[in-house]
Amino acid sequence: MPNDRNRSAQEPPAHDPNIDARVELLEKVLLHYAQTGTLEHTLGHGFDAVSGHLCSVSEQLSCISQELKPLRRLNGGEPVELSDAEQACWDNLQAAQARPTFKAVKSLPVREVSLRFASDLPDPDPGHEPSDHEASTWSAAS
Amino acid sequence: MIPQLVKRLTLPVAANVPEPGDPFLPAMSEADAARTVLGADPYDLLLHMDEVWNAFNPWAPAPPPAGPGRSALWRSGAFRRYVPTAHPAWDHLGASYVLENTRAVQILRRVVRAYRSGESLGVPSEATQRWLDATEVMLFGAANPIAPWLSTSSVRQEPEAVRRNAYWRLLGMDLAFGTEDNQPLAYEKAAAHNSGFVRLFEELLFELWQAIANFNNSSGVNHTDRDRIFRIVEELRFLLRSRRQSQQLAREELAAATALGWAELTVLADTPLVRDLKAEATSAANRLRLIGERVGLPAHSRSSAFFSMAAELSLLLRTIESNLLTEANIPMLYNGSALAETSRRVITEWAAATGKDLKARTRPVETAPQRRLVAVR
Repeated sequence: MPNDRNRSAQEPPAHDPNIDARVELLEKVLLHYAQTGTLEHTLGHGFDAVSGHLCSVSEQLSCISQELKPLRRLNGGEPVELSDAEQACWDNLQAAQARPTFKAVKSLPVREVSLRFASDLPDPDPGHEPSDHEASTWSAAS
Repeated sequence: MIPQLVKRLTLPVAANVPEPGDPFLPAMSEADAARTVLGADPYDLLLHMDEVWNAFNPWAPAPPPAGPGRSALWRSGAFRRYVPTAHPAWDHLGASYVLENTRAVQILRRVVRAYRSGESLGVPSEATQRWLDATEVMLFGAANPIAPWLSTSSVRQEPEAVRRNAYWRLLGMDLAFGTEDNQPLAYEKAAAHNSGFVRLFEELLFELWQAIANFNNSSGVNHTDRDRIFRIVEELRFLLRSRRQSQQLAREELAAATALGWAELTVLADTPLVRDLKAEATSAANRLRLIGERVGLPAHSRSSAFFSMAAELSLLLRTIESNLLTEANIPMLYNGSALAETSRRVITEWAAATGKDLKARTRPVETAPQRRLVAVR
């Protein structure tokens, strides 16, 4: 039987900023290649430790992509690309189901209400003349 | 519907929405929003419930269900400025099922009966008396200009029986208890019901746990079976949708979500009722347990897990039922996204509530019938 204390025994490891930095570097290299068609100015920034010994550009690119894949998975996974329709569906689902967390709410404020009895009611205006209806009602009751 | 309404009250409303000349409405704090809803006139709440149903427009592209008379009534309601724009704006029936399993409705029924018939629980405050008015209408069918017409009538009078019938049809499950005096509660058990839901859903939770546990596994054996996860999701979608053809069960789902949302909101904080009953505590489950002790009806011992998973279970089941999940994006369920956090919470709390270890397979998956030796020549 599961034990509440063991609920999170296999928490995923914490997000590692070093991995983010490495991913960012490798992506810059790929971007540089896409823009210039060369990898010449990208060596010497940590990237050559992986692929500096390789001679051809294609081998180096292949090496980068092989390194990138597991690194992306380590920090949050490969991004799942949603189509516009899927994104709209997901946004709608989340918006429709949105509910408060009440994390900051311990108790709800209340209004104080004083007791009221007939004798607490203010006296009628001295100039008040009973209407025909009131007069007939009281005279009938008496 | 109730927690979603509270959420909408915490957001500002722009001027001229929904009609020209409407002033700007500032956002409320969560506490003020909850107090506003708990102290609202039940007529306003039911008008809003009606408006939410109409905004959903269940039979689109056919016209919405409300006629001009009822539409005119909405314009006089207190919450007319807070109509949802995303739909359906209420919890999935699965959330109502787990919340009702806490026994909150039956416990609140005893509270209402005790307050209305004597002073055994003390004298209710003004706020609690407003809550009693609304609860008799929303949960127990007291007469109102707009009754919770969505799911009850002279043909099916008991709201709890209607909800149990819906749970049985969509989820193939009954509640964990009978009537207040522990007798079986009679209700219509439809022949067409999803008896395979629990088996499939627990199989999905098992596979999702394997995927979550192996997610960071960049070397060695990885037990994630992406294709199997997608196939189970697809089968669950077919199963749930087969009971929802032409929007069947939608109105029962809204009525159940309203009733159980009201019960949940009542114990989510130290509300006036909780204080009047001297049941202040730090969690909804503990408040309900204390209230249950006051009225002599124990809450479910796993109430904490039920309260903790209701919102996540609702979002997960809605997502499964939608057309969102495809073979390409199925990793959303386990890859660290918001939806993955949702499924992770459901795995944890479903295991705690049912006592089943979803992280270990109890028996191997049967892919082909086993051959048995019948004779030896």
